[in-house]
Amino acid sequence: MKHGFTQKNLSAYLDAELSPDKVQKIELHLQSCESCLRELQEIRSGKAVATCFENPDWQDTEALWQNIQRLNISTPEKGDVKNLEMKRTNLWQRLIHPRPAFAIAVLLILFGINLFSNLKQKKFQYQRVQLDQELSYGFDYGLYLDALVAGSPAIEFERRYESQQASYEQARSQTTFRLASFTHMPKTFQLREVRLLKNACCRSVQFSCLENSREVIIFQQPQGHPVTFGNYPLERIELNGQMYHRIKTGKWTVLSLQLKESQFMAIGEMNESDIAAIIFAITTI
Amino acid sequence: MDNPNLEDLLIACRQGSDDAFRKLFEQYHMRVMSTAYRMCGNIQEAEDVTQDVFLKAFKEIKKFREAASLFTWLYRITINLCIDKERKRQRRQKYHENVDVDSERITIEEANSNENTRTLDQQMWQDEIQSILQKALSRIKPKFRTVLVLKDIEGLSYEEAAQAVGCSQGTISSRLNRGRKELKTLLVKMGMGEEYFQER
Ligand SMILES: [Zn+2]
Repeated sequence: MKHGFTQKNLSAYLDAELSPDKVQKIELHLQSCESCLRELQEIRSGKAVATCFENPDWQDTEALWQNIQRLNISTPEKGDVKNLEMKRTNLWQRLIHPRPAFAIAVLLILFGINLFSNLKQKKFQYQRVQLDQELSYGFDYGLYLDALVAGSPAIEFERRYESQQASYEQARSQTTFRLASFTHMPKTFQLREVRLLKNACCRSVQFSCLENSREVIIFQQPQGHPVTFGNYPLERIELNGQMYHRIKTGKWTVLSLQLKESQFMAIGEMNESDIAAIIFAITTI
Repeated sequence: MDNPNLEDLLIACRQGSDDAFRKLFEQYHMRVMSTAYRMCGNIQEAEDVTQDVFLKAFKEIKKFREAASLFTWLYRITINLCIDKERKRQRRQKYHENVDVDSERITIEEANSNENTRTLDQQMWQDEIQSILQKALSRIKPKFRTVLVLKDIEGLSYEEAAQAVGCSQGTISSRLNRGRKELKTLLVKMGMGEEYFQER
């Protein structure tokens, strides 16, 4: 029996897009063909999960229209879209609107003369991750630093973290988790694995930020989750009116910022301009 | 879409009426933007694409005659611009290809075991699911992602999707097969719970 016709049209069959005679042909085939039936089940699952997509909340689209209108008027007839791209004012401007002077100053420090090319490349990427259990445990970022300093982050961090976890285990049975682990990428050092786990000791929102192939991880520790830093000494620093704490050990830096009810921690390899950029990122995200 | 107003709108646009352009934008920008968002996976790029789509549409509308297929035409421009952008981006950031699903794994625990947590953080949880769905979608080849977006997310019919893509309805079906299967496989790998694959 030929699978071809049936296989090709399984989606159309599921979506009721076929004429009755074709439906009949397919149903007849499905009665006697295990493999097409399995295929149908897979496609059906994919279709079901595709209904879970929800549209994001769009920001003010009026600004978008204004921009289009302006470009449309100022564009010569013969220009093509490629030329338009060059003329476009960056939509970033809308993002940084509330504090343009401060934002531009920080961006200038950060991006230097490569300002425009860097903006286009969108250096800041962030991943937001929710650990789905709300518990009152805090977290010792000193352990994290120990692991980084030890130079074998993934293994060392997890080992130490799991040993710390042993005491939590008594309070919370059935727990197996890692907060996060590092993965060594071919050329760069990046955090690329984040696990969402139940019974995690803190619910953290986590960002990773890629800059010159160094990666900085930013944790958000919610209220009531005390944070400690082992025996590492904290320096108190002010930058553009924003207070933060800093730990420096070797090439590693930890920044800690209190914003509203959350405490943010940025951990990684960073230089002075990275720090300014990261603080800007945290306060504007 | 047999809409006499659409015919008038198209004529007014061709004559260069600002009001008509504005109406065209108002009527279609959400569809364009959400399609672009699904294709590009990020809001800022989606806005950039939307901007380009309308600029291109305003420029080329003089040559456009078929009021009935106006919205599939806009979809077509959107898809093409998104795919173009993606190609350019891939050329720029080749190293990103090294990141495969396994090294970027996100494991979702079902969280069913604790209903309280779930209600408490419903919104955050929803956001997280959305971001994982989008991540999986972005990993599907553009050819298959396109039909998934047009049919399953945007809700176009086969006929409309075929018009937008410029292929036969049979091709829409076979690409959907592939797109849907890949979406499922990726999400299973990412740890998406069984309940998301049940028909609702
Ligand atoms: Zn068969």
